[in-house]
Amino acid sequence: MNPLYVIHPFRWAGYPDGELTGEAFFDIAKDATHPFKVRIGNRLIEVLGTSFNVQAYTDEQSMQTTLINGAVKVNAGEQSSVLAPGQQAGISNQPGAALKVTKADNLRQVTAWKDGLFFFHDNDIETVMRQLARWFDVDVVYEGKKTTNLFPV
Amino acid sequence: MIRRDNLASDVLKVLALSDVHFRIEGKKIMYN
Repeated sequence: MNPLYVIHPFRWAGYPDGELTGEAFFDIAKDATHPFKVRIGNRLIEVLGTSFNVQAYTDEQSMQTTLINGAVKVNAGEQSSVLAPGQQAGISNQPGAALKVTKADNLRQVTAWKDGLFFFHDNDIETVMRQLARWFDVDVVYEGKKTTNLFPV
Repeated sequence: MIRRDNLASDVLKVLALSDVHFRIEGKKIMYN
């Protein structure tokens, strides 16, 4: 089975920064003397005592950081934003893209994966199938016209 | 919500609609 996330290399001794590809949920205690940072490409998430979800799949068009509680600071190049609980910072994978902060539509949907669930809410067929392809480590082949229905219907 | 420990074929059954059809061929999900 395809692992849902890969974290490498976490330097737990001295500099607890990490690099992330995939998806991970962080639940981190506040420790001012040992700040925790996560790098994703040129983006840096600075953890201030918090729980949050990061989605950074290479087959998605953007990276999403969703704050559940506490606070995180998301840096992307010259841009940065401190999120409030329930907010989501998204940035396209395109070079020079702007960091956009919005209210997360559905926190349960964001964190369902860590509870072993698929949670589809107004998702199109391609979004649904990308999740299945990653989880089951398969390719999806579209032979006919894609439905315009959103899942679940 | 659908449990991730289901087989792919069972997840696809849940998603299947009147105009959505899937079949599994090896490591591929065919959608038509």
